[in-house]
Amino acid sequence: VIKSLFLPISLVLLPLALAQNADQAERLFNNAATFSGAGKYSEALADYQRIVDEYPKSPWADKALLEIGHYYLNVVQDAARATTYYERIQSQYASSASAPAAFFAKASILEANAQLVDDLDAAGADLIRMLNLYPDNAWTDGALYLLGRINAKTGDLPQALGYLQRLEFGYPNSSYTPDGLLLAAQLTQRHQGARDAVLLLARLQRNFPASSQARHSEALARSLTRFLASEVRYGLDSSFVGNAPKRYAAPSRLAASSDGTISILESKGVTLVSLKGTPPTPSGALKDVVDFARDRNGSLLFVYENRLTQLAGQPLVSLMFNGAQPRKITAAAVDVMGRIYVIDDDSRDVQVFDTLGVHQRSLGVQRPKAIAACRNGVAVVPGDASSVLFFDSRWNRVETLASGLRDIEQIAFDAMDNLYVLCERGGKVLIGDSAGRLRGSIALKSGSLPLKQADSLAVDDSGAIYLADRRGGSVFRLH
Amino acid sequence: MITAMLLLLLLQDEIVSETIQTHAYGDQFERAMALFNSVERDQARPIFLELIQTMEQKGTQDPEDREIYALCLQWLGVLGYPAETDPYFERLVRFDPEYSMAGQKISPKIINHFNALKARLVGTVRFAISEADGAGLVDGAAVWVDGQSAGVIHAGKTTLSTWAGSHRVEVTKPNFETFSTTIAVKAGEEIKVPGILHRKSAELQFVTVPSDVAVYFQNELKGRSSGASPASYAERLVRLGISPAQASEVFSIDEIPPGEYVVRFEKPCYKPKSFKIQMTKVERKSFEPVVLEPAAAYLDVSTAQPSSGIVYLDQERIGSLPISAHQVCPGAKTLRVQFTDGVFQRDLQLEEGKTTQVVAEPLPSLVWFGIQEKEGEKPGEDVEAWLRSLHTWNFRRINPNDTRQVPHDPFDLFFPQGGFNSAAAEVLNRGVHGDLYIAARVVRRKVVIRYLEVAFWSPLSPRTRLYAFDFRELDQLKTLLQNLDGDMPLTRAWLGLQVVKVEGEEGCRVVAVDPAGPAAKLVEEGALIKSCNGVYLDSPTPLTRLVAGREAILEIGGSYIKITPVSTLAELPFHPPSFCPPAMIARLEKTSRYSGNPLVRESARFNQARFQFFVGDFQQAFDTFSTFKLAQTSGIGQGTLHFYQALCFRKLNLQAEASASFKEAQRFPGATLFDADGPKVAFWAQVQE
Repeated sequence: VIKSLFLPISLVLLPLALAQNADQAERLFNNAATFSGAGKYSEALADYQRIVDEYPKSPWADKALLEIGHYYLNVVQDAARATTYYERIQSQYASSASAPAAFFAKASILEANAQLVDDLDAAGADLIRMLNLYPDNAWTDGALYLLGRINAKTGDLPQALGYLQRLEFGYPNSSYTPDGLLLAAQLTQRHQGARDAVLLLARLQRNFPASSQARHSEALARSLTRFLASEVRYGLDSSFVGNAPKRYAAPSRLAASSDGTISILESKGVTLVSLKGTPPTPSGALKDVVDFARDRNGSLLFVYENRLTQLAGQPLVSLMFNGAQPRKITAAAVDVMGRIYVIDDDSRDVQVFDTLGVHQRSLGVQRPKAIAACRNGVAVVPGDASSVLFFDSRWNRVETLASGLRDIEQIAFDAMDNLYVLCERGGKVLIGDSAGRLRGSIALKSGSLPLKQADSLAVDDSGAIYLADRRGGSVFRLH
Repeated sequence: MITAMLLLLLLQDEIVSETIQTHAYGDQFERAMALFNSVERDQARPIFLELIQTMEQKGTQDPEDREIYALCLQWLGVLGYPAETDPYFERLVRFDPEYSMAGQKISPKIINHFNALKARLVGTVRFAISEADGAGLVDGAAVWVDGQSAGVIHAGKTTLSTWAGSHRVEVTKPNFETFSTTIAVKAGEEIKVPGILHRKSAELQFVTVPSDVAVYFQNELKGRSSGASPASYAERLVRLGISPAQASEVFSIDEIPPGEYVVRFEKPCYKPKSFKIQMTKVERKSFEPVVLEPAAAYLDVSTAQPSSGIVYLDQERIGSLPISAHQVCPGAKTLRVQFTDGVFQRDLQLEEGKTTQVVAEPLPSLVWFGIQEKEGEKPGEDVEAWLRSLHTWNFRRINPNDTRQVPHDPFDLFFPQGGFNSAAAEVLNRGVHGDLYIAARVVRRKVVIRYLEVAFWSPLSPRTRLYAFDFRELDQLKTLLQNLDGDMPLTRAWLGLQVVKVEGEEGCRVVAVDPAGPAAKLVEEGALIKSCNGVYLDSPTPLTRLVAGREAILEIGGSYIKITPVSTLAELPFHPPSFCPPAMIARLEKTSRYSGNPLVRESARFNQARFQFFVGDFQQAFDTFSTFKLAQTSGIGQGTLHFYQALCFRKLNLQAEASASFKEAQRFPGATLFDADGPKVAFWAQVQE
């Protein structure tokens, strides 16, 4: 009799128990959210974990997992551990409201940390799955932007532009749209030319006038509008502080970072000049700096013979090649995926490292002379100094630019991927657009400028050119 | 409150009792007369006596009661004839000295007896009253005998009978000193009372044409003229070509001290008239007849597109569309046009002599089923009042339980458990005929947290849109509802040039000039615009705020160039959290049919299709996009339509058709998305293809 009564009673009590569980879980979740808001993360984490462990069937379990994932990602900065929580949501709570957020967060981590194109492809595949599984979810705009970035990195411009168009079309007021328009302008410059690209910037400024992206676009517009003319022209910026003779001690290397800081390598160390206020203060053994580079966000890096450091002196990563640190780095670059390329005088080749400093491969360029990150890869000047070799994100040599080039000293790219070549032993600057077409030249020996020969070249986001005159002790700005 | 109700009940009870008593006098009297006229006439006597006793106790002010009282005395006198007659007849004469038995079915002998008795008790008073200073005979003065009203003076004279003895008589008339005197009346004799009334204040007199005119004296309403004009005005009215029947009786304004005054006359549908008058003497001043001229306003009602509809003005049906030069009274009126698919309503101020032209557009109908409160109390906010206050909608409250109109429970329909039942919704729509349906329900989460779920559905889209608002955040619902009423920027001012702010440059640089735009040939690509309408141009934004048709002045290279922006189609933002898609689709449908501006109609149709696309109604969107063509070569144009059609095809898994439409879109180099300055459709189509 007892047995026969047990089942109906259980059936009656089960929903009641589930409801009570849900209430308990909700209370815990609210507690955890309060703790988290007050910065008491360990208490918050404990409550979230209790929900996952004790009430896995409650409607709060997926939300708790998501919060734990966000905690490891944003507070602990342990992307790998965060990913495991996002994956649990994907597998155990695939139909929950947190699932698209988990897909998006995981893909964002993959995209940010991708070392290989395959990683990017995996992130892209995850996002496409997410868009198919959860149409019109709250993360669709972010997913479209991320897909645009991923395809831009892998070099698939039409695909990238397609996603960015879908973002602007379907989500014109999204917080991702201004960034999407900026990225689309950069890609359009390469795909369609400067005219269409500058119209995107016009739209960005018109539709998001108060955004930081609109302000940043003013510099990019400066670069692009130069390329609207049939021939790119430059004039001397007479107001630039570096013009004065003997202002610097034998300036030999220059770099322009995205925050508007110009770095000048002198015989006595490093000097920073800012066009937008007070320059930052560098740290470290600045006398040993051999060159500059920029990280994937455009921030300044110091290049030493055996390492790369950030502005404050801390190493970017520890580079290991054949079981030891490199010993004779002469130049370096960092691509959009954060991978590090160094010209190593010992191996007389370009060595490639991942973001953790693990050696990946050599590019096979004999006695490389100069290097710069561009597009979705890197450009290298080989030892004969008469060409520029382009490598894509998979490190395949995709293009060689040689026409009319000789005695190349240095190369640089602006934010729109236009190419600037200091060649003919420093007597000439050639300017090419992002599609590789020659669009202008500056003959320093013509006498129209106060220097006959430059020793180094840098280009800022607005396309302004900086030239170092070692003997004269000056740095000139052409705009 | 309860006390007031009890008082009312008591009062009501009293009123009812009084009415019953009055009826009782009449009934009792009739019963007595029935007996009087029968063979048992003596049995009427106690009833007459009881009536007299009761009426004397309660008083007899009512004319009908007075008449019953007099008749009771008369018939008691008749019944007692001859022995007991005199006391009753004497009381009767005292009660009414003017009483006469002439014409009644009473024996002449008894009448003669009564008349003889009356002659022994009553004398006659003959008044002859004139105004002082030979101003004429008095008319309309009241006569009082011992404080009791006794008659009215006509043409200076009146005659009355009164009990023999000494009496105080008074003659009163507004604007005159009271005439009073004491007279000694002798039975059976006539006494003459000559008198003169002395004027003490001025008065105004007039008749109005027409009658029923409001008369204001110093802005104070003194009354309305009424009746028909007296014969004394007939000649003057005829002289003015007015029939006396059209005029009112004399209207007087009395007791006017000397001074200057304004008299105003008003009547709806007539032009008001006012006079300034100077009252210097104590006299009667008569106006010429005050003739008001009829006033008329005229009304034209039409639609942008030929449509049928019935036109009502202040609830009165005045005809069918179109209405032309319809004559109406000036003033505030409410115009309502009932279309087959909606209503247009507007408050008008119709001015005298002017024609008001109205282009009617039917407002979409918003049907509200109210709030279902199964899981808790309704919110404190009056959501229905928010809906009622919408101006661009025709609000209708429908009882969800009215099965004649509502064949399906709207709450079950719009908050479905197992999917939305489109067929049932269509049946509901056939019964109610709305453009937008709204139902709400209270959902309780926990004990204190409650949500108001609001469902919107339009027959133009096979989906409901559900919003949930925490009771504590109902302002969000208010904003959403207010947005149903908001402006729809369906067109945009367009200069035909695009500018960008370039770092280090003063002003904005022109990066594109559309050859079909107003700036073509006036501005060149590469030019630097320093200011727009005198305002420094530090971003492209000011150029987006220009108004179509209003000239803009651009400062370029030290010169000032005038350009007038034109109106172009624009895409409405699709943002469901702020703008409810079914509501927007319903409004756009109406706008696309009835707007007076062809460009707005075109844009509304285009945007309706866009909204259908964005909510996921791809087939309906495609069908709508296919119903029209756009002739514009720049901006939103035919290329834009092809682009959207391609997107619809793609959503419907018709890849070949999508590809063909994308290709077709590329044939329109000037077509754009978003607005006329938006991205080129051709490029996007190429990428999407």
